[in-house]
Amino acid sequence: MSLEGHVEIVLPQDPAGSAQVRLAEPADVTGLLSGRGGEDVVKLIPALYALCGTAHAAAACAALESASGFRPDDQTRRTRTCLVLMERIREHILRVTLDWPAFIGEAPDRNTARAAMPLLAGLKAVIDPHREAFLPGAATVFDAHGACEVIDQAERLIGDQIFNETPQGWLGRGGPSAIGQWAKTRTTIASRVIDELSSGRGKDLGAVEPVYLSEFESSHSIAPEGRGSDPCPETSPLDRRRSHPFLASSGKPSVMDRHIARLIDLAATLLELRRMVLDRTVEPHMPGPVRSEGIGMVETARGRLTHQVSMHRGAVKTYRIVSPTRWNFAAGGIAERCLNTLRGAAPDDRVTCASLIVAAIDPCVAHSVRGH
Amino acid sequence: MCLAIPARVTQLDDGDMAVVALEGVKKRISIALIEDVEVGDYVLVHVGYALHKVSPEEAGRTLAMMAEAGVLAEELEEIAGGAL
Repeated sequence: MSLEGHVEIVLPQDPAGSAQVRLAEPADVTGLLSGRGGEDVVKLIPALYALCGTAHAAAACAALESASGFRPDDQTRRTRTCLVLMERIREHILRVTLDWPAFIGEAPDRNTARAAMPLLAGLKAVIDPHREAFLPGAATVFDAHGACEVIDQAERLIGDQIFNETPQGWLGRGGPSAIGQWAKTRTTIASRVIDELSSGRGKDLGAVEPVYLSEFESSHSIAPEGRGSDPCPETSPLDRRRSHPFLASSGKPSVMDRHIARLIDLAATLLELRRMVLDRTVEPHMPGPVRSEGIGMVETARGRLTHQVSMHRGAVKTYRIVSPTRWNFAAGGIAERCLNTLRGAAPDDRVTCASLIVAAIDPCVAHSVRGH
Repeated sequence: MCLAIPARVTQLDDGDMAVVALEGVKKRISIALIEDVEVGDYVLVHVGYALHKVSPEEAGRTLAMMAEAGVLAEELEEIAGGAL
């Protein structure tokens, strides 16, 4: 069973009223980490958060190592980066194949989802066979040839089942007309969902001026609290890929744009992963920039995941985890701002549209919508 | 982000479906994404799908940690909301 938290959305009857978004996160288990050494923490975190355990392990390592002033060697950072990227690819494939078919009234594509499941384990087997990449002082074995074979598998799967062309070719399509042409002429679930969204309400639904977390690179951007009345920035595939020609041309990204951003992130992450394996001049981005001691950040499929630790005499004193959901469903966050575009819509339609907006921002989070 | 609680498979159904149980709460899930699931296995479930199998030892350790953190008592109500 998983506990992903719950978002309660209240849409006011008054057309001038604002949507209320209340996020109840899963129980905080970080108290279990107090008093433990770094190696214990790196073993416990992936067990507790096993569904995206690679990202959590990487964030924990980055936080603990920056707290202790230790910087892992290039090879270890490269291995960690590759594993995080492959976990992100797998997550995107699962969401596109399991969740997206419902938008066009079809059953989940379980065959493609099943084929995606072994990709991360396959990559681990060749670049981290001893499962040491996230342990302090790890000396990893990196089989680049074996890694490329696994990446080839991923590329074939994504190319055949999602884009119906190579991910690189799809990414190179660039602007709206070329992606629109792709959506109209291909027959994959992804292309038909984008075509449906572009010809229906999804094209303009939830379109608001974006505020991106990656534009706030100060140490004050660890968690969304304490921002006063300022809009809370979002962290998402859209933030990560906003310079892509399609997204750059969208002044106010809509539900459709957010789905395309996920596809762009999928294709671009695959290319990044191959470069990370083959090109030793590419700097591994794990860990990310050090904002201050004890902070580790990882870009997951849903957005930025942050771990923050303080240590005392080699043991954890405090530990905090800030999920992408915390940013995106905060007061004044992107979910609330998108939902406020539903003012004045018919009550039943608002509930349907609200669910589409939530799914576009965070497809994993459980939510309920009600009028007030 | 999601906490992953291992659940024990108690029944296999047609169509790659199964029933899992955790502390008496039962849920029907899909096992279409993983291979060779048997009654008694522990699996991690997310959005209605079993995504990974975990060993009984690993499941036991994780469940003990969850209990120590007070997660299981507090959060089973959430799971029970979608139970059989």
